[in-house]
Amino acid sequence: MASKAQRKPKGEKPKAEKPKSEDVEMKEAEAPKPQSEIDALTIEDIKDHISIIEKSVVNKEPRFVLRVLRQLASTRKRLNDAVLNQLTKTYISDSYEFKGKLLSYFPCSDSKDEKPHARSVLTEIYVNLLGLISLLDNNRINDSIPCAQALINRVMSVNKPTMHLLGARCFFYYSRAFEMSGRLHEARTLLHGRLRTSTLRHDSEGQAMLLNLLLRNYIHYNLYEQAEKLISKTTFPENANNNESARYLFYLGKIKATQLDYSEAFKNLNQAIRKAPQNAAIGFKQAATKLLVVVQLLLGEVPERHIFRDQHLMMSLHPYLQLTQAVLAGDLAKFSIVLEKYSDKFMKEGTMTLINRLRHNVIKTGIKSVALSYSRISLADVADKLQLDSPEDAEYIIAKAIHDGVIEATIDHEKGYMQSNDSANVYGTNEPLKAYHERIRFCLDIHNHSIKAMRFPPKSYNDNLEDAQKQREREQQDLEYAKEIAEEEDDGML
Amino acid sequence: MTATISYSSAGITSAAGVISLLDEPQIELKIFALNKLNLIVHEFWAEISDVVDKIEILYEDESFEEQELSALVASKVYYHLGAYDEALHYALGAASLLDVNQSSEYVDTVVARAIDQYITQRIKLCDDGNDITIDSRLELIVEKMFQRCFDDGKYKQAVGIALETRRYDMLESAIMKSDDIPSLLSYALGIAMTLLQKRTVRNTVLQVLVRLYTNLSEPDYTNMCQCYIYLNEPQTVVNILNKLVSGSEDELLMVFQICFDVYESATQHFIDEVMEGLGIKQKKEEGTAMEVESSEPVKPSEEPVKTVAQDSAIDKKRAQVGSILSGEIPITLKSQFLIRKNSSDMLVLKNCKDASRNAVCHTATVIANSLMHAGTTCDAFLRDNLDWLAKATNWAKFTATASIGVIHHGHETNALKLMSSYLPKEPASGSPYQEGGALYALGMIHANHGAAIIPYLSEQLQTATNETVKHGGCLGLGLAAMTSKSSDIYEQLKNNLYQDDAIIGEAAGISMGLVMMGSLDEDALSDMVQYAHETQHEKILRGLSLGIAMICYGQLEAADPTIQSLTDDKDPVLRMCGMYSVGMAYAGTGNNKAIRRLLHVAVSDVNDDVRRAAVISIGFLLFNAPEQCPNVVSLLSESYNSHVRYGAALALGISCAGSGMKEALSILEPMINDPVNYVRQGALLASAMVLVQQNDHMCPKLKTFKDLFTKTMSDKHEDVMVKFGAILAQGIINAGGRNCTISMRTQYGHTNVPSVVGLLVFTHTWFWFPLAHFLCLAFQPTYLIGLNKDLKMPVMKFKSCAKPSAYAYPPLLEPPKEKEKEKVSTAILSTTAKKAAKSKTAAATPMEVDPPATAAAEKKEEKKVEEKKDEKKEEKKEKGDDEKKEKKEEAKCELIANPARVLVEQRNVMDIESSSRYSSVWNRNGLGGFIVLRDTKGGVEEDIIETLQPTAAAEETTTEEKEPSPPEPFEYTE
Repeated sequence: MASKAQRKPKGEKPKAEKPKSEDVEMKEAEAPKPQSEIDALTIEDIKDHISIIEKSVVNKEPRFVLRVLRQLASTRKRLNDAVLNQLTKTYISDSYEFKGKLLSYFPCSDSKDEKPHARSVLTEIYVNLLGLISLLDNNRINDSIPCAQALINRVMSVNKPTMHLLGARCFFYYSRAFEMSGRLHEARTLLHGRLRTSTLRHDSEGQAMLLNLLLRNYIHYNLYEQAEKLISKTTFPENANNNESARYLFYLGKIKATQLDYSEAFKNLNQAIRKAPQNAAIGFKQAATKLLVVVQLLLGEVPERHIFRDQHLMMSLHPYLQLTQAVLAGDLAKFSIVLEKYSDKFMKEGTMTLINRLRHNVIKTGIKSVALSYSRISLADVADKLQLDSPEDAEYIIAKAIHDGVIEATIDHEKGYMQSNDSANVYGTNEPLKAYHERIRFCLDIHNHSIKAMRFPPKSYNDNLEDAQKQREREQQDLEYAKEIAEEEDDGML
Repeated sequence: MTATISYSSAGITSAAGVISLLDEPQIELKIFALNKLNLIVHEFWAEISDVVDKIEILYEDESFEEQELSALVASKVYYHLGAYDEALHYALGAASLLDVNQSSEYVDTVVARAIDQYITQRIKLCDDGNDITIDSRLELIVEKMFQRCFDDGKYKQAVGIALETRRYDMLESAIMKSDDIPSLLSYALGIAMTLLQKRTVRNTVLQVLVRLYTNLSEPDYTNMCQCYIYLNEPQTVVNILNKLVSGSEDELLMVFQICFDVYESATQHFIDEVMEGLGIKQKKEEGTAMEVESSEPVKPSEEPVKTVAQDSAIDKKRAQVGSILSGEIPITLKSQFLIRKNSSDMLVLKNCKDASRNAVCHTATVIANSLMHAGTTCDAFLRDNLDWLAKATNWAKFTATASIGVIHHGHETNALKLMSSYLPKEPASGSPYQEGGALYALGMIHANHGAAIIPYLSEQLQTATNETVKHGGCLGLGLAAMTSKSSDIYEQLKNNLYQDDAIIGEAAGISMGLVMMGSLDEDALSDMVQYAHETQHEKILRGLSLGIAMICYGQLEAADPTIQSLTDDKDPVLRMCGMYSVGMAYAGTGNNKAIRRLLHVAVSDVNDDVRRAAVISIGFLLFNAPEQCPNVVSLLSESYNSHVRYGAALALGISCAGSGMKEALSILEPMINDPVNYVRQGALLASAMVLVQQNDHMCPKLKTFKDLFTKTMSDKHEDVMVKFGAILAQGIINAGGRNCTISMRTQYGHTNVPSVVGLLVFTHTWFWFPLAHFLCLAFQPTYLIGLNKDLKMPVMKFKSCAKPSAYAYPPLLEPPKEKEKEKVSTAILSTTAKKAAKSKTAAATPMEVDPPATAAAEKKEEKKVEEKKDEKKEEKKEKGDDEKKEKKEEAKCELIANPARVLVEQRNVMDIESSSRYSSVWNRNGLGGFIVLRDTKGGVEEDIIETLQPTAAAEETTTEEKEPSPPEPFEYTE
């Protein structure tokens, strides 16, 4: 799960830097341990991973691979040229044409020359993947692209269920390599092809990953329409893992928000946050929460205060807190100030377009409060309160608000005032029922999702059963003994 | 125009531009757009899919010249959308533009879809007789694929698809075009037999195959005849045999081989028809016929028109053929094999005997003894323990007397004489239980081959007055007349049924089923079902339910109406009958629909018996695919309902019999500790069935289970029911002197009818102990017997290319104190094992007369071994140091003398010794069963293995007075 954090769209930057600083710390703190020893340990660990992968191939059980992939994040931090050189030499067979190239990426003078063992393709792919990750971590973009291409070619040549999990991960780093080199669009054709293949092969992991990568690809180039079409024409595999579905929901939310479907976006983002791992993937959660806040504001709702208090989110959400306050107050001036102050940040985070749309909301909120406060107010006063340019502007905006159902009021054009109607009793309508229904459904959804997410080891129900059986047997035997004793006693009596 | 818009697909981010061109009025623009879309569709399909209707309109527009192109684009879009049927539809429209030989995912998917659709349509057309027309374009694609298979030499794939699509023409050309026609033919035959479930289809395929076999330059008569057996065309077999019989000597040998195969595979009815066609009337074995004491002598068959002179060669050949087909020779040879190789473990029996303290265990031991010695004619145990045996009273005596029949199963000469002391006599003096048992035993001896004894049994049944005698008579008659469909016998049994006596009725019901086995005779069915509704006796109902199930045997969907009405009945016994009927009708087919039906009932019926029967029937369905059974019943084996658990155990035992399958045993093992006693019993029985003829080498778990049997048997606190199971298990695991396995398949994959019957009725031991004897019908001796042109066993050796220990007997039980037997435990060499076994049995059975000639012959055999010097040395040393032998490296292969004990798994590694003067007439993979041999040194005199006298009969031929009196005078303690 920890691996999540690094792959999240927004969390990448800070995370990428983190390992380095940790390395430095480690060296300072535990200086006595020489690098070679640490490497040896790393290689040992990876050897374990490889034996798990081999086991998975032999037993045709894809789940074992998952265990290895979960540790990818920690493995990743410990990779270096020496380790990779050794691994490549040991585990990649000479027949693999890319082996020479890989070795040249990771020069190492003092590694032992070992004859490669005959291993499964999966192992080779795993080692190759580690190489690619290391290249990406060290910002060696130019080397990473050919490496990624070689890796993918290798992955595509295999059609085995055990390949699915590892293959999905390989696609991720393939796409990542292209993204980092700024050539993301070049990856698109291949991703499309692979999506089809994985659909045909019932490879739900690959399908989920590739769909996400394609969405990310489209969103990267602001091709929201394409992304939306892709979504509408495909179905996200139901049994995809939680992380992938969280990301899918995030992209979905983003696309929906851009396409003005705020309530849908709100639902998706909320689910995405909920599906995200609890203690990790902070970057992802930050990005999703930011978007969520904006969407919620666009919906005319007020985000909960506690969102901004969260320890991990407090800092990065600060601008959004101010934004919220501005919208809440309906204070257009403050809104403009916040916008100006953080425009760079919003731009970078891709929320700018949405925030621009908020201006209307600010005005709407202002009108709403005006309408609540005054039963009748002249248009000029409204313009003054909302800092609009003229009473005419105010009239237009109020008319729009009435049309949209934001306020219940009438405009007297002749006399130039707005007359508010008494607000109707909401509780007399079906609204509360609907809201209630919505919430219950939401709760049930969560319940169902969490049940579906549970896993049990196969046949574990047997263990208890057997115990019970033994117990019954023992009881029966006790009974028989008792009977026997009784009989013996009877015999004695006779 | 093309020059102006010349962007590459990589550069564009949307297909909107190209799409908008579709709306242009100019045709050229539209065509250009389509061409462009065709190129970029793989990336922009999501966008294009919004306008796919426009593309479809273009496709349907007759005036549009590039219809095919638009179809191709539409097809690709649908392919990406995952709507493969539409994709196929438009791909067909694209016709020439779709290159099926191109290897891309799109093309592969479409082609796969096309084949799938073609298969479903063809099946509808050919199997269900629906009148549908198949798109010729679809057919074209499939034909192209066939062509591709032929080009690439993938004939097996072509055969598979041809069978699936019911394209018999393609099947034919696929086989004929291949380079190895015979192997492909047998491949097709194998598929047809195992994977094609529909009878009509299978028959058509077989007809095609038979035609191909006939057209071969060297027609493959053996396989052809196998096909004809399936097709139930005795007349064609007759024609083949007639043609061959007058041919050269080689062809004559082939005739013999075919006859043996037919005898082993076909039903009695089929064989009868073949014999009739050949003009050979079944010659009732004179020996037996003469001894029949009945007033009505067996009709001697003089009718056959003998045009040729009596002693002409042809006639002699015919006589030989007749003796094979009538079963005379095979049965004698089989029983020879069993007598000769008998290596049962007397110590086990002794332990059983010592452990049995009550009547149930006593009966169990008697049954176990009979199963252990089934067919070996070795009744030493009974003779040695006359006093103990005399404890059997009432029905136990019935069982005990019948067990003699099991021991002498197949030993037909002298049968009457053998049983004479028990059979009913004029003044009704004897115990009815004994007399009934004797009749049952006679039936058992003549099971499925009863022409000689039927008249006698029928008369006895007629004259008998006691219900017990009638019970035995009915069972005996049913067994002897099994599958004969004789209406006289059926009527006689029916009359017995209508007496409405519970005991007689039960036996009559079963026997009616036996006689009409697999006929689906409407009259019989209606008689039985109607009576089942009328009768008050549950026993009769149960008997009838077995009988009805047997009548449905092998009828597949033809039995469905009957099954349906039975399963809907409100009487649970009839529903149970419905379940058994499913098992019988679809026996060995693994039919999914039938399994689903059984599983449904197994978990939903309100009656325990019905549920149990449903689960047991699963075993019958799956015996051709035993590896599936553990999966199917694994959940049921953990059911809360103990009857379902019992059923699951037996289903495993039935389907995985003799396989030693690890998965099956791992389900059965925990069941042996089940809290419910009868489930434990079932698990014990089933595990013995699974483990029959296994040794430690083949199945490492064997020892655990054997120990369990012994432990359970002698455990003081164990329930009597479980002990019954454990003792029976001891008998089963040592079946037929450890030379038999339990199997419902013959060597050629036919279903062995007696085995199925045997197991079915055996499951009713639950209700009625005497029925346990039926299990011996399911025992199949694992022999390999070579025969010369005179149908005698010549002295020769077979070579088994496996370590001797791989297929050796498991070690005998070690007696607690005596040390002299330790050599047996290390019997790694088969010759050693055999000798040891022989000396053992000789010691245990003093009456066995081993003619010195045989011993001499055996010595000769040994001398013949030239290449195996090591072995010879070891044989000399065998009395001495066993330790050394163990350390010595095991030989890679061994030589086994004719007749050989060859396990089912061992068949594939068997061959005729290279230096032998004999060769097989028909080369097949692996050897098993009867092999007719061609003598390469014609003139030289052959060494023939002498016929061994059956143990019991031997006593008759030697001095009668010397022997202890036969075990007839039971002391009744009634």
